[in-house]
Amino acid sequence: MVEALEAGFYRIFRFNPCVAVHELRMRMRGWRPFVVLLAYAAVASSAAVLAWMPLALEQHRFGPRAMEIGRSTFVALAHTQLTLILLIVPAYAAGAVTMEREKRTLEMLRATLVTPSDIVTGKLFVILAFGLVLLITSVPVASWCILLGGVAPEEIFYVYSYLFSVAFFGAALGMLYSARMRRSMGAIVAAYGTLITISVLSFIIPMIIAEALLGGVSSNPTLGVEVAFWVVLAFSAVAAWMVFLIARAVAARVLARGRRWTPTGLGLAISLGLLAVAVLASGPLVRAVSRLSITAFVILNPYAALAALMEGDIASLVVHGAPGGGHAPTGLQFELWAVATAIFLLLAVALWGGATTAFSRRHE
Amino acid sequence: MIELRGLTKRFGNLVAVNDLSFRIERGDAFGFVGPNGAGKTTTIKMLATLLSPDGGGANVNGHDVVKDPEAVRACVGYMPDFFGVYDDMKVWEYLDFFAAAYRVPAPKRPDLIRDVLELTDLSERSEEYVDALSRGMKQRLCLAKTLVHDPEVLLLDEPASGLDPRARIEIRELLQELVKMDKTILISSHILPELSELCNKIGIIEGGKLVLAGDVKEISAQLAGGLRLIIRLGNRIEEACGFLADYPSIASAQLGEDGAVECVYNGAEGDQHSILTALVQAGFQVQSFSEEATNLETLYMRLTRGVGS
Repeated sequence: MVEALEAGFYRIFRFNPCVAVHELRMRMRGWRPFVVLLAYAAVASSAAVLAWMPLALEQHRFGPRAMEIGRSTFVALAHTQLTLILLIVPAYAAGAVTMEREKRTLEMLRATLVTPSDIVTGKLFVILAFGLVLLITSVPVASWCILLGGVAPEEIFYVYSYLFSVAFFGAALGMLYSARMRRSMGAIVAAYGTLITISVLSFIIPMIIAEALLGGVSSNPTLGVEVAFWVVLAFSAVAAWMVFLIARAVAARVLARGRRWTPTGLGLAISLGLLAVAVLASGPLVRAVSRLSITAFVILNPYAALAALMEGDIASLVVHGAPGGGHAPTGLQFELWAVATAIFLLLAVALWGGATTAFSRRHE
Repeated sequence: MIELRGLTKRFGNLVAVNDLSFRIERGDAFGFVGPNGAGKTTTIKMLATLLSPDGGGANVNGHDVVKDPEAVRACVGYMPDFFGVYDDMKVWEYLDFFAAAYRVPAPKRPDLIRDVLELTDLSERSEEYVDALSRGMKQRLCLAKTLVHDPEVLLLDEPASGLDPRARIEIRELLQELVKMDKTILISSHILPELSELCNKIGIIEGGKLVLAGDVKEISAQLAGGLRLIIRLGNRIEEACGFLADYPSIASAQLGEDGAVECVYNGAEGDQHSILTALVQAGFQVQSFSEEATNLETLYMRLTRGVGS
């Protein structure tokens, strides 16, 4: 069976799955994966029970509130799982290649016919499969939330598929640092550092923009329009720079192999162009850019995007630039799910490609 | 067949391999000797396509190491000087993994693995975990991994380094088997006598440059011409010095600091016993009679001096 799959993979995708099979053997053997799974299930279940217990006691005193209880339990479960996934998956991935370097096994592997893509992809898929197994262990708890009420089955699908996309993103990010760096510890710190930076910036920036420009989460803006304008502009320039770098990497790989472009000149031109547009822009355009920035930044924050999927306040902030209330409406929830999941999947694919390129360059 | 044409590798300002050229024919066993940092490992890594040369080129079995690395890897078995093993992996799984990495079709793998395990005398250990093996067994396993895709060319970087005498002998016997299998072998080592038993050709490298290359028999003859003998005597030491200095096959004899007589023998190989007989017949009390241990340094120094002069 494994042999047939192996031959099929190579014939169809030119992908040698031997590294994936090997990783699967190594990672799933012994007591370690069992302990990690057990700990994951225990922490996720405990979070759900801790969210459920006070509400259930309150219900005992003040009457039936089953739907609210079910929903709160599920929200706690989802956020706990997101934290666990962001802690476990990037760390596993960050050690995938560096461990081979540290143990001096990589050289022998590189002397064989496996390609950098076989190595990076094989390891990434196994870590992703492990992430999937972690998520699956909590499905019985999620089912219990459905039984409590207040959670629709499709909502479970939205949340779990979103969590999977974040796991993919985390694994690809960890793999990128693993391919680039020499030591596992350095790669793990870099991966966590990047995730924390993304989470903090994507939380603070939309708050500043919303507060200053759009009446924000409070009724009185505390920052002037000018300050917010420059914040938007600066981060738009950074975003433009990142888009340019990704586009350049893709173009260099697909179109102009070996040809060196001048990133500084072009990046500066894009940033100056954005500056000119912003200076010339009138109020409505600034407001539109601000709203778009809020949406982009909130969706880039794994916690905010998950909250937006399940809670109306944040969903309204993302879509309308102002807080609303209640649960996210079904239509809006689907759109948010589609956009957030697609963004993390796209980022993951870009990082995956980046990891393969980084591995090849390091060993050229 | 391996061919190096002006192969050069630089690391910053350091020229690790400098304009290296030699040729190893099919079926040759080539011993590659040199001190640490001489460029042996760098050369082997370039031949294994793990490092790109900065100048010159090399072909392995007719494939260019830069232009066609995949073809080179398919026909080369590479054993590094230092290597790690995967934990939590059985011996047969380790070999199966490398066989798959070399794209050996799955149905062929069990037989190949059985053969290489038998060759490396690890058949009994196939179900054991790799990290439970002794250093010598791990070395043999690494050699088994190197053979798992039945390569025509073997690049072995210090295959017996860090082993105890028994494991060293086992590896040597194994390598002798491989020589008999008509594989083209490039083997680096610090221990020249060991290589002389295995190899029909030898090359000496220092500072990235090839100092000497050629047939082992020719170089051995050159070495035998300058063999150092250490003789300890119980009486008439000064007189023995003079006696030995006048002996036909001894180039020079002098009293060492430790009281032993040190002679440079340039007679026929295997005829040193005649000196011992002569000393005993002349009434000298011979307490010990030995050849100076020929480590890499002394041999290397003598060889380079020979080339220079």
